[in-house]
Amino acid sequence: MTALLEVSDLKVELPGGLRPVDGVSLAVGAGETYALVGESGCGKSMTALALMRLLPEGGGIAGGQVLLSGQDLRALTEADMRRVRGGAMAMIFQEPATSLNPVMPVGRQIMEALARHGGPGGAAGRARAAALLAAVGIPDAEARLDEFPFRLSGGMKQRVMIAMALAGEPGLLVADEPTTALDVTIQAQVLELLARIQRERGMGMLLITHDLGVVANMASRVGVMYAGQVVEEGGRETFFQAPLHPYSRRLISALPRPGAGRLETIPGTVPPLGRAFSGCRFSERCLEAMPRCQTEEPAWHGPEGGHRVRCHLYMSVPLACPTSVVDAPSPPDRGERVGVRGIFPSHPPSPLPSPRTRGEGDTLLAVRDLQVHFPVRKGLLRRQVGQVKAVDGISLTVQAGRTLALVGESGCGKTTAGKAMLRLIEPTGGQVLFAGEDLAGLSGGRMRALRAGMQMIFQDPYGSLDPRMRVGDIIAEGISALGLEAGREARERRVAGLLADVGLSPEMVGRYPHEFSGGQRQRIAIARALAVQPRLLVCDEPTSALDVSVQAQILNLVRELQDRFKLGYLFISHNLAVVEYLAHEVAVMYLGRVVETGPVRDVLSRPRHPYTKALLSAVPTVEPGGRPRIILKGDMPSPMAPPPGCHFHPRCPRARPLCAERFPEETALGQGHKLACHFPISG
Amino acid sequence: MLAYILRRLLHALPILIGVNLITFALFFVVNTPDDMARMQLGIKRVTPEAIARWKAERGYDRPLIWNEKAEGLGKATNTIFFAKSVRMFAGDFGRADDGRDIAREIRMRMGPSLAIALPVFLLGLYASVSFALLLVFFRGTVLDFWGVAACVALMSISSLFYIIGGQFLVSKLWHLVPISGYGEGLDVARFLALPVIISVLAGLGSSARWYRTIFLEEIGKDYVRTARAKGLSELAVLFGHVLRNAMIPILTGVVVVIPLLFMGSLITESFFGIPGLGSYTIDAINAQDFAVVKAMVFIGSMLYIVGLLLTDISYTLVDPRVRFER
Amino acid sequence: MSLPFLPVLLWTDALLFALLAAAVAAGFYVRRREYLMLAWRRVAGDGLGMAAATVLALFLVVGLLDSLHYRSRLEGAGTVWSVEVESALDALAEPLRRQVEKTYSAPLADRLFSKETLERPDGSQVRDYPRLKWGAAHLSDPEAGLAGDVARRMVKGEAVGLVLWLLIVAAVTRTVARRESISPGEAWRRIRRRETPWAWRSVLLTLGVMLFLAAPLAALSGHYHVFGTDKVGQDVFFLTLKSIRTALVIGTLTTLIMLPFAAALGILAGYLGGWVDDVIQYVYTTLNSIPGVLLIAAAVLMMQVVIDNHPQWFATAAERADARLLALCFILGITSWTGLCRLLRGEALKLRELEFIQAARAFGVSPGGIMLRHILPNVMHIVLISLVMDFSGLVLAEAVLSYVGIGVDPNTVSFGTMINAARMELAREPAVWWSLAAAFSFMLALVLSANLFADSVRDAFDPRLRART
Repeated sequence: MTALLEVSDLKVELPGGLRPVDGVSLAVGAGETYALVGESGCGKSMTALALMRLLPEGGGIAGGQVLLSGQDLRALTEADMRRVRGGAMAMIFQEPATSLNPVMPVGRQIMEALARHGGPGGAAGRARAAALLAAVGIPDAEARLDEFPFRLSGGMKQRVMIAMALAGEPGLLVADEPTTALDVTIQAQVLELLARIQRERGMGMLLITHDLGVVANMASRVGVMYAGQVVEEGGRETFFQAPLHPYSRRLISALPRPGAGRLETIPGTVPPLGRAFSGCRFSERCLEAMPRCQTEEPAWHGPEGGHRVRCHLYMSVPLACPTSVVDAPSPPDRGERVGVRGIFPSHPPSPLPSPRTRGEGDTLLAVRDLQVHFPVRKGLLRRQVGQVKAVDGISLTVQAGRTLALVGESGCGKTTAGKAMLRLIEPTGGQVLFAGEDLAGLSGGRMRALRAGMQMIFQDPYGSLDPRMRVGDIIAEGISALGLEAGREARERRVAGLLADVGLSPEMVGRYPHEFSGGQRQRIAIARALAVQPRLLVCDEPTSALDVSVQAQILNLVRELQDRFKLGYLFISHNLAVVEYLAHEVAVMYLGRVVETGPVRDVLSRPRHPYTKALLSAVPTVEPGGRPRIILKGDMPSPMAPPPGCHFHPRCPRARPLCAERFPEETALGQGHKLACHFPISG
Repeated sequence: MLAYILRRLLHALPILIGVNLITFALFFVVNTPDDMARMQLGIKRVTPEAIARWKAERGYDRPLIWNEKAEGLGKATNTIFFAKSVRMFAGDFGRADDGRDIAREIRMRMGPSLAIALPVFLLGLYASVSFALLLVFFRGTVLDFWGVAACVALMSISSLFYIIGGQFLVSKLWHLVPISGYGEGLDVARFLALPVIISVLAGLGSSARWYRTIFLEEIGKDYVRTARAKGLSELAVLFGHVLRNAMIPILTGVVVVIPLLFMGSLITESFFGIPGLGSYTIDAINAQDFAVVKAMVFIGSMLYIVGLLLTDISYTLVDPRVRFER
Repeated sequence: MSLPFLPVLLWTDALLFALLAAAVAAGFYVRRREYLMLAWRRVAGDGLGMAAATVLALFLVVGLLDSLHYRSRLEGAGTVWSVEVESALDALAEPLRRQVEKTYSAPLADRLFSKETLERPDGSQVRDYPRLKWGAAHLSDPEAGLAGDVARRMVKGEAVGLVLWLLIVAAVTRTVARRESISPGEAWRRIRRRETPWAWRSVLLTLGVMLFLAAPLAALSGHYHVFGTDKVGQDVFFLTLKSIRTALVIGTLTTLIMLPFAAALGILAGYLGGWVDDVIQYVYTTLNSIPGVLLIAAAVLMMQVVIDNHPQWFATAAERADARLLALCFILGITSWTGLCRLLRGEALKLRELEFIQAARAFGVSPGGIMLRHILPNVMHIVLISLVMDFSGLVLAEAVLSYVGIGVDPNTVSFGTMINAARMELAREPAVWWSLAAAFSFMLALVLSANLFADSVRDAFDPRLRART
């Protein structure tokens, strides 16, 4: 077998003695998708950049070999390597928003790549660029050539990136987290596009991702990376059927699933890259570690090209040699769902947390017709010419001890709604009742008293803690601001107790945020919110910036705290898996309005609104027997100019003329399930 | 676009009014005309009559902002504020202490000022951008290190030394060009060569270093990586992608000074005896001619505001994001 | 009252020492904050930055010595004080100050620079270069003995300098050894190989070079005019030393004076937004729109009128000159705060959207509390960077302004007044170069080291730069 790309024992060194890649070997065949998966900081992206010889300045390849169609890339001169870049091997990046030159029309950026790799110039080049844009599914391609990147949506930009990568007709496409920055419905579009292009052109693809769901949907082979090394490798089916490495197994079981109890977590964090290792790099976080794991680096077990693993557990276990996937046909059609079985326990999922008593079910927060509009000013005198209806009349209730999830894609107004409820943004209209009291127009003093009752946890663990304050002061801020604990000693006791509550050591009070990992910071943020003994917590995507294993820890903690303190949660998220796992009720938002709401089990298992259904189907999961995928057309329209009638109708597969005329009334379906759709999907 | 320019002009108006008020306060409120007269005439041998004469000669014998004795509109116009400050909007700057019309003097001296300031501006921009690009192309190498070191050394030397040293070496020791003066026609080049070269050199260090920082910042961005991933050469990346994007921050600092070029350079003009607005200002400062300084302050701010306007317009030329937003 | 002198605290002295005290207090504050310690340790580990800091420290010592002012008791009279305000530096360099020649003399010369008609002991007249009153006056036959005497004194000076340097090296080595609990030999090895956390090697090397240069100056200055004398016969070396204080005052106090305004207004504008922002933006755009030099010129002219019209405010000429110096600092501050203000406004605008600020708002912390507790500490690094970055620019600006005639009082010695006085000297035949050369080299040393130190501080404190390297 001759692979298209053969990497052996690749080592990368960065300034400061860091070794993000330390002996990676892998092979990608033509027409094959090799998915390199792992948590952040394990060296995936550096591997990709090393292949392109585009490592950051000061960094370099310290050892190993990279063969592309038998040609040694390390031996090439820089000039020859430039011919390979974008030619035989092209790459697309994670952030489409910043990866395109903002001041150059996209057409010229594509033509530049064409011209560099022997394509036609002039009018012919323009035609080729338009053809490429059309091929990546950009409508009206000819006219789009002269657009600047900022006029395109994120999904469109990523399509342009792909078109640019295709300009040199590469044999291998390196895709570094190509959909991580995109919304799920857009991610579904782009993944489908990548799969189609790969199929049509017989390209090899090295797909780098942290999302096991994407892997399960895209890959033909899977490599799991940990601390700069590949620790397990195998065909997709065999890998998901029976992941071998303890790390892979725990990674998969850390994924939230509906009805699951406590999630599996991995203790600790990925070790720093500058360290020297003596044994297995995962050993200190491994529950199955043996004494030899600390001293001896494990060798590969299992056949090359088959399913193999670097773990001492498999020393004496003969691993079966499954059919080599390298020669296997290209990955299956996107239309059908691949079921991967075997890894999930066959016992029925445990029921949702048992019904509660005491205080549960009391309405904590009632929101009626909440509106947040931002004025848009234009013209000579900055007159208000319109408004962005970020939140346009939503109504919800959150009950004590229960979780309401507010779900939607970015820009739908969910975060704005959450902040407006806490009056961090002044609402334009509507009512917010907290424990029966209308927050609108409350005096400063009364509002402050109520603030103790409702707190917020934020998305970005790095932005949510003041880097200039000690952890103890951060947590105590609310206590002193609201005058809750008089004495200094009492306050210190309380802070120590809170740290223990969220699973941190009370000795950490004197440290600064930069000394903590993302997960630990999020725990501190939770402790800070809990410090004032709130009854309602608004959680704004608290886990979306975290790795899967850390996400599991935080989700466990969030659930535990709810049980202990009977907290009501408004859980804002785009991640339906997390919502399914955590929430009792769900409200689906689209362009500032709630389109469907009700109990999680009802709404997510039998969605009635076409948008909910599409959203659900777009989530790539590793679970068997997933839903058939619905690919939505186009992007979410701008909230500045929402489509008339039902906001969703331009993208809706079921839309009829009526939908363009008026917004559907909310209809109740019983059991709290409500819906705003003219033509709902029949239950 | 037109509406946009109009709006910017509307924004500029309150600023001009503000400048006018500040100069009025500075020149007539902080010190009364009496104080100025006393100072000009010499504190020792001043008599009330002398002060009164001094004030009458210059029209400072009116009330500050409200003339009770005048008739009708005169109550507001026959005042120092109106005559000396508001009239500046109409281009009336009054007369200098030597009796010449300031507005006419300014018109005459703009030419020589521009003749030196414009070449300095263009050559300086060209030289420092090229030098910065060179350093960026060789970033991380010895050349870069010593280039930056040279920039720091260049910017640590006072501009006075450049001029004094340059005049000493080039004119006095080597007799290449006249030490100072100004001529007619082609002869001008002989007089301008040295001041232009010296001014460019004096500004090179700090601006080249600043541009280098901007370029380096751009080079770290994602789109540059994309351009490299296309297989473009480093030069193509630098000129095709980085330069265009770096123009945006560079323009902020550069375009705004273009109108101010009319004002000339104080030091250079006075050292080289060029009859421009810079030396006019210096002479006025040394002679404590308040009317001229006041006029220059007002004109300077007007030109600055024009510069701001030009900056905004230039953005729309380089940055498509700004262009389409309006 | 038995003091032989009357201490005089000029305004700029008070502010300089207040600044020093604030720096010491800040030092204690930093010691308790690890993130700040981290940044300062990066500065301490930067060889070039520490070398620059060493030079700056020496300048600072001279400047501070020159800021201890007093009036001495007039002989005979009981409590009548001299109208002349002197400083500790004047006292230390007493001979330099008093040994005034008639006019120009070249460095290390024994005679004046220009010929004069002299009367011989026999009554005949001759045109010759007269002997100096003080320079090389101890030599009976300068033609024969001057070179030898100078060489002897230089060697002696260098020897003292070397001993001094070795003492310092030993002291540093001991300190390092004690701190890291290693033997002095090991400490010395580490210092030599630059393996200490602080860049001691650069500090010691710089000190060595400075001592090498300064020792002969000190050894010679008692009997010679090492940098020559100026038009009125003043010792140029002494003038250069006196210029340092003016430069330091302008460079530090200006930023210090405008800092509170810039910080407060910038943060207010950025955090509160709305009409507050509009007003503050209007104010700084308006001020900014007046070309700096002209605004300074106008303000200085006006200030001069005020000072000239109120001679009764000032007891001594020094106080008057000091008032003018301070006023210049104020004026420079007023014209230069806009940059920092705009910078801080932008930063506050960014910080306002950060989640830790939102979290504080969710606790009902008042806007004032948020600005003080969260925004201010998070923009302090910008304030610090601009403080050190502005220093060199202000020192350079002083020279230009004094040259234009809108700088310090003509009686205040500064680099600007020195250059201004010396501007026509190069045109003389033969050229008088030493005043300019002295001002040039001292100013270059000061500004260059300030620039290098500023770079080092910026690199250590700017998180954006750190992320890139």
